Amino acid sequence: MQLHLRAVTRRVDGRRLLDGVTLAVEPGRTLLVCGPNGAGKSTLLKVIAGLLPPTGGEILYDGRSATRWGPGLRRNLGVLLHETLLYDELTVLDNLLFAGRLFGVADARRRAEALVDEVGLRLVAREPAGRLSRGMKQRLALARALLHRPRVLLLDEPYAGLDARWSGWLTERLAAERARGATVVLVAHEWRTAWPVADQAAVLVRGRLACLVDAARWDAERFGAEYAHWVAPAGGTHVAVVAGQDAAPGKGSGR
Amino acid sequence: MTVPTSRPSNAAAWLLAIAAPAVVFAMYMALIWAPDERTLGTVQRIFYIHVGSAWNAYLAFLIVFVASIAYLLRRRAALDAVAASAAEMGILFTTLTLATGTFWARSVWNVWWTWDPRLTTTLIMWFMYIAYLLVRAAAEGEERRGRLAAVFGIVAFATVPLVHFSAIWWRGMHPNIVQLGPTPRMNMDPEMVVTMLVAVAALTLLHGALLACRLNLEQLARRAAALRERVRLEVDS
Amino acid sequence: MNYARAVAAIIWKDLRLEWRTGEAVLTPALLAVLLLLVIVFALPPAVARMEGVFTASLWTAVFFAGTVGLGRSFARERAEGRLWALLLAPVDRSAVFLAKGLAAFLFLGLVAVVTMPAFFAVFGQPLGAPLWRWVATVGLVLLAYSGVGTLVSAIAAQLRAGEVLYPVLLFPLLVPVVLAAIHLTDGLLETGGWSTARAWLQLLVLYNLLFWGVPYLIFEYVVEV
Repeated sequence: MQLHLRAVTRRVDGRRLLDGVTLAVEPGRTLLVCGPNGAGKSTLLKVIAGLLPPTGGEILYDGRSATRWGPGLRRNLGVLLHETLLYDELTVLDNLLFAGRLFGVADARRRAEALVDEVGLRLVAREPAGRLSRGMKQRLALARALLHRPRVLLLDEPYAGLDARWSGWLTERLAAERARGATVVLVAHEWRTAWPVADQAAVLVRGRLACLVDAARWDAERFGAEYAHWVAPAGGTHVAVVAGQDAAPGKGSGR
Repeated sequence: MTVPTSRPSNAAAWLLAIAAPAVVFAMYMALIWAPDERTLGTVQRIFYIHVGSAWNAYLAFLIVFVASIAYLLRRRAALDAVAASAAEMGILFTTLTLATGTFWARSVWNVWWTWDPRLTTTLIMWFMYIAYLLVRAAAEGEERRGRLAAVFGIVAFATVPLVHFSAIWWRGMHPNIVQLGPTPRMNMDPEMVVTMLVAVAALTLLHGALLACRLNLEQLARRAAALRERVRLEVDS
Repeated sequence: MNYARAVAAIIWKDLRLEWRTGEAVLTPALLAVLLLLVIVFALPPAVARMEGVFTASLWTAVFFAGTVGLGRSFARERAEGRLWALLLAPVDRSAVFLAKGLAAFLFLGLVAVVTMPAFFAVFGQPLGAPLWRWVATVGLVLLAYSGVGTLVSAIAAQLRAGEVLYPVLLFPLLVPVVLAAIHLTDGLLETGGWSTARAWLQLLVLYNLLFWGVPYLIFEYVVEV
């Protein structure tokens, strides 16, 4: 699904958490969003997911505004947040079953069992989710996001808490999703881990898009140098015009 | 970052200027001009304030209701300010109604409280207003506060008719009583009716004036909060 | 239909959770029975046999014990961002209210099934009316209670110290239901039917329409997180 943000703004109590964010992600492409703490990355993800209403601008899926899609749009979204969204008292399997039923997945039980195996939680499938380690909970939360085969994945710090083996799994899984044509928006404070899967990279600073680049044409080192510059405290909020960068339609709205 | 720039209005000053003499005039009529009631005597005069307060208590609640609906639809901070201010006015007039009702009961029936349906409803309303203000106090963030208070204000007001009828049927009182006062035996001379209407009008003007003053206070408070927030953000960065 | 399935899923989830935690049925039921004991200790035996004391005690216990479970309804969705999980469902958000409300009704019903026989037994009170009338009356009362209780729970869950505030926010709104409950059950005990309390029945129906209809329409505003 094509995802397009047009001048998305979110103001709460007079503060601008998001300010005129404009970008587009094509099906099968992955956007990496990074930036310093408090930049609004998580807020951006929640606004795209429809959990927080934007105060300005619009969000388009396949050219149609999210409001016109209605609640059915969320069938296509797979979301991973900072919070686990898990019920500690329910078993691993029950948590997935619930998600499946909630999203109207036809073969919910079969899918739940398959994902339990895929994320390596078969041995604890009947344990209450509250007893899992941080990494296991992350894997369960990821399974939850993938359960209903969403066409858009919105992931907030998906690599957090994962060891090397499971980070590798996630990278492969994301590549598979790309091949499937899924659109992925990935928020990562530690962008280096996610760099290999990114097609585009955006830097968000204080709610504004500081830059948007094509990751294929940049290497990690060069991006790292520029990143440090953009998030510098002094004068870091201006839009950087750097040669070779891939601009989203309508970009250039920075101050 | 924008700071609300609406200046405190002069409407409050004007309304006060009109309301003050109106209240004085009404008091003159209620305490001196109106005739003594045949059976109850001087004490009956509390009734004029009682009715005026009760009317304004319901009016305030209605304002909260309308402002709450409007806020949910339009999301303008000014509407939330109106709702909050009206709620405080409501508590004021509800308390006044309850107090005058208590004095009446003590004077006429020698009891401190009576479960007269309207007093009962007023008492429940009083608790609802308090709950409304508690919701406002416990909500974090202006947006959340306005939204949750609006929802509560709407359902609370919608419950009032049900509470009213409950209170009537509860004591087995016939619902057809003409509600001119707690004592159906009271006779209303035309002069008393006039006094009552004047009292209601004067108190309504007072209500309006106080509401305007409170709104001013609310606007100022929000401006101050916004400025504080702006300073905090500057210091942060 | 997706909507119905989502509602069913949430109810199923709450039932499952209840099986594990017992916070919506077991604890309130225990509390109600404990309140029964307190009342029995507090009232002189002659008073306990007086008219109206039974229904007053019964409903006091049920309404107070009920807040324990009802208040948790949305409070337990606070942690770990679980409410967001519900809001992500691809259905209208009113489904969340309906599901939670119906689950609450189920739980309250179970609490009543445990509590009421205990009250009848301890007070030595004969039924006085056919069982189906009792079921219908209590059902209507608990339906109203769960409607308003779920709405206020959703509001309180977004407030500081919400669980503490919950009864204070709820009880003023609940007054008509309490009065109706007492009058209807008194009528059942005295006449075996609803003839003396028709108006209260109508009021209860109206209340249900209000507190299931309005939240259904505006729930989107309540949980705009």
